[in-house]
Amino acid sequence: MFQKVLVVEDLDTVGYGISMMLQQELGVRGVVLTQYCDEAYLKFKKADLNNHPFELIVTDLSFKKDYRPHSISSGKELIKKIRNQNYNTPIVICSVEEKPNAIKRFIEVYQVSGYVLKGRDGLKDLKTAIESIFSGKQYLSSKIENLDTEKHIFEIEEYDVLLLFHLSDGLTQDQISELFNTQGISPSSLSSIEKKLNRLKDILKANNNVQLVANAKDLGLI
Amino acid sequence: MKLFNQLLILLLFSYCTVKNNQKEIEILDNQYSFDTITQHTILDSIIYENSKIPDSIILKILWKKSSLFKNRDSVLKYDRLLLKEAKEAKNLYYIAKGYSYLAYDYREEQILDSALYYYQQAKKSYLKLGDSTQVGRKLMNIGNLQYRFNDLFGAKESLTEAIKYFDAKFNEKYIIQCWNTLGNCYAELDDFEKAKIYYKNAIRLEENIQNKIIYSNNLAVLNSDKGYFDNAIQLIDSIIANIPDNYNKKEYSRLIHNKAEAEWKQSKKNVLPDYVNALKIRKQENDLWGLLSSYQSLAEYFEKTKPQQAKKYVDSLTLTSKTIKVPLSELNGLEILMRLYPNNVTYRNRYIFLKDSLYQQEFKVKTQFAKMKYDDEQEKILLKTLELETAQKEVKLSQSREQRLWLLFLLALFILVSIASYYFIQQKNKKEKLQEIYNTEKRISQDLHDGLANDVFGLMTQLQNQKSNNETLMNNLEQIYETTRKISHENASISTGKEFREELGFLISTYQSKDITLVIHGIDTIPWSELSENLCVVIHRSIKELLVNMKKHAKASLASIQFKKDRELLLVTYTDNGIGLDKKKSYGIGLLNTENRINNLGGSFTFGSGENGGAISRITLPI
Repeated sequence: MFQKVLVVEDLDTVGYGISMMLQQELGVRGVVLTQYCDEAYLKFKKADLNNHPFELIVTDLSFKKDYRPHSISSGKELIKKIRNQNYNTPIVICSVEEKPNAIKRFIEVYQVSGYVLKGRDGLKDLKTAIESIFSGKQYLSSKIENLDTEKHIFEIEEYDVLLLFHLSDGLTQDQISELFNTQGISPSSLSSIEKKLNRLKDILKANNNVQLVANAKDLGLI
Repeated sequence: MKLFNQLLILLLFSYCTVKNNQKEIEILDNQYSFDTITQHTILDSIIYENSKIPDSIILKILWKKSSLFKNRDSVLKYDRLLLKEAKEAKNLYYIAKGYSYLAYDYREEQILDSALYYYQQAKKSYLKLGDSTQVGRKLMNIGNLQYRFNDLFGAKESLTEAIKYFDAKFNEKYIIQCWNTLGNCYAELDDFEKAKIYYKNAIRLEENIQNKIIYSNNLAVLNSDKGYFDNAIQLIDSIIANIPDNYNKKEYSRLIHNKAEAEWKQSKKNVLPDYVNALKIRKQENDLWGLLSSYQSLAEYFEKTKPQQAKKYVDSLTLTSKTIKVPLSELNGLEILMRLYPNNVTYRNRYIFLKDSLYQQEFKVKTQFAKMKYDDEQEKILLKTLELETAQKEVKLSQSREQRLWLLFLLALFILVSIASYYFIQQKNKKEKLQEIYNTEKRISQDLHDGLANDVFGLMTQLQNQKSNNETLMNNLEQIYETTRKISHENASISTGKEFREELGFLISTYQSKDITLVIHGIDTIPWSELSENLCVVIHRSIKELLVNMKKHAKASLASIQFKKDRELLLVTYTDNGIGLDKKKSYGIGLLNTENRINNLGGSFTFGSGENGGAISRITLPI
C-alpha cells in the first residue's frame, strides 16, 4: 500500500475521517493532513526535495476562504500547478462536484486517477478508489460512472427528421429505402431504416408508425 | 590733384575688395566730393570688383551713373538699363525711379506719348509703393504736360487728381504749383473768375517771394487779357514797388513787359522804351521764352506803323520758336505776317501746316490721356471686382465657419446625449442586476426553506419522538445532503466557451426521467464556442427555466428542444405534449425574468400553447 499520502481538505472533520480511514483501514503510515492549498503545495515540494516524495494526493476541489491570504485558491489550481511541473503523482479527487463535463476534464487534462463523490458512502468509495489506484487502475464513483451525458439525451439527427418526414408523407419503408438509395442518402437499406424507426419509436414513446408521426408533429420535429 | 585722385581710387579698390556691402554704401553716399570722371570710375570699380553685390546696390549705382551724365543719350541709356535691371530684380522702388527718369528724358526730347506713358507707369509703381506724394507729383507732371500741349480739360483733371494725393501740410508747395497751373488752364478756357480764384489762392499761400511774384504776374496778365487793364497795371505797379533788390532779372523784365503790353492795349500809348528795355534784359539773360513774348509784342506794336520793323521781329520770333521748339509762337508770328501780306501763299500754307500739326499733337495728347484714363478705369473696375470677389469669399468662409460651428455644436450635443443615455442605461442595468440578485437570493432562500428547513425539521421531530433507528436517520440525512447539493448546483456558475456544449447537454440530461423523454435536435449546428459568455449564460438560464417549468406544470411525456442558426440569429424552440398553457394564469416570475434577460440582449421570447395542445416556446437571440 502507499506509504506516504497527502490529504488536502478544508473541513477538519472530513479530513480527520479520511486520515483515520487511511491509517487504520489501509495501514498508511505517513499521512499528512492540511487544510490549505498553499500549504499542501509547499509540503509536497519539500517532501520531493527531501527525496521522500508523497505517493498519493487526496484532495477536495472547493476551499472555503478564511482570514489567511492565499495564492492557490482551489483544488483545481493546486492540481494544475503540480501537473504543470511534470509530477505524475496519483491524485484522487474527493468532492461534491458532479458535473460530468468537469469530471471529464480532470480525468482527460490532468490525468486524475480517481474521482470520488462526497456522500453517504463517500469514505467507502474512497477506500475502494485508493485500493484500485494502488493496483494500477482508474476509479470513478459508481454514481458518475457514466460520464457520457449524451447517452441520457436523445438527439434527433437530420436523417431521422428526413425519415419521419417521408413517413408522414405516406411512404412505406420500402419506398423510403428506394428513395434514399436514389438520392445517395446513407444508410438506405431496409434493415437500417427499420432499426432507425424502432429507435425513434422507442424514444418518442410510440407503438406504431402512425403514433410516431403524430408525436413527432406534436414536438414540431416535422 | 590728379595724382591724389589716382591714389584715392587705388585705396578705394582695395577697400572694395573687402566684400563689405556696408562700406560700398558708404562710398556710394560720399562719392559727390569727387569730380564726375572719378565718380564714374568709383562706381564702375564697385561693379567689377564685386561679382556678388546685391541688386539694390547695382541699381543704386546705375541710378547715380545716370545722374552723372550730361549727355542726353547716355542718360537715356542708363535710365533704360536701370529700369531693366530693376524689373529683373523686382525692385519696385527703382522701377518707379526708372519710369520717372525715362518720362523726364522723353519730355525733354518732346516725345510726348512716351513721356506720358512713362509718367503713367511711374504713377502706378508709386501707387503700389504707397508713396502718395510721388503719385501726386507724377500726376502733376502729366497735368503740366497736358497744359503745355493745350489739352486743357485733361490738364484740369490730372491736376485736380494730383491735389488729392498731396498732404495739405507737407506738400503745400506742390498744391500751390497745381493751383497756379490750374489758373493758367482756366485763363486759357476764358473762365476769368475761376482762374482768378486759383491765382489768388496760390499767391496767398506761397511763401517763396519769387514764386509769389510769378503768380501775381500771371494774375496781371489774366486781367490784361480780359480787358481789366487798370487792374493789371495797378497790380504790376504794386509788385514792382515791393520788389526785392536782387530780384531775378528775367522775372523783372517780364513784369516790365507785361505792364507795357497792358498799357499799350489800353491806350496805344508809347510803350516802346519799356518793350525795348525788357528785350534788352532778356537778351542779356538769354531768356528765350521771354524773348518770344518780346518779339511778338514788338511785332504787333509795329504792325500798323512800320511793317518792315514788324516783319523783322516776326523773323526773330520764328527763329527763336524753332530753337526752343515752340511752334505756337511761330504760328502767332505767321498770323501777323498774314495780316501784313494777305496775298502771300507761302505764309498761309506754313500757317495751315503748323496749325494742323499742332492740332494733331494736341489730339495725340488727348488720345493718349483718354487711353490712360480708360486703362485706369478698367483697372479700378478690376480692382472692385476683385474686392467684391474677396468679400464674397470671406462671406462664404464665415458661412462655412458658422456651419462648422454648428456641426461642432451638434457633435457636442450628440456626445452629451450619448454620455447621458449611457449613464442612464448603466443605472438601469445596475438596478436590474440588483433586482436579479435580490430575486436570486429570494429564490435560494425559498429553496432552502422548502427543501432543507422542512426536511431538517422533520428529522428533528423524528429524533424527538425517538421512533427512528440509525438507518432511517441516515437515509433522511442523505436526502437532506442531496437536496443541499441540488440547490448548490442550481446556483453554481456556468462554464462557457468550449465547455458550454457539454454544460448544456448535462443540464438537459438532468431533466430526463422515466416520465419525460427529452429529445434534442440541431444542437451541434450552433458554434457554441464562438458565442459570448453573456449569451451562453442567458441561453442556459432560459432553457433551465423552461425545463423547470416543464417538470413542475407541463404534465408532458415528451418534450423537444430544437436549435437552429439562421444567419445572425440563434433560434431555440421548445415543444412538449403536455397540458399547455393555462390562459388565465400569467407568466411566473421565472419566465418573466427569462423574457427580461432575452430582451436585454435584443432578442425575443414567446411562450404559449401549441396547435395540438402542449406548450411551445420560441427564443430568438442575435449572435
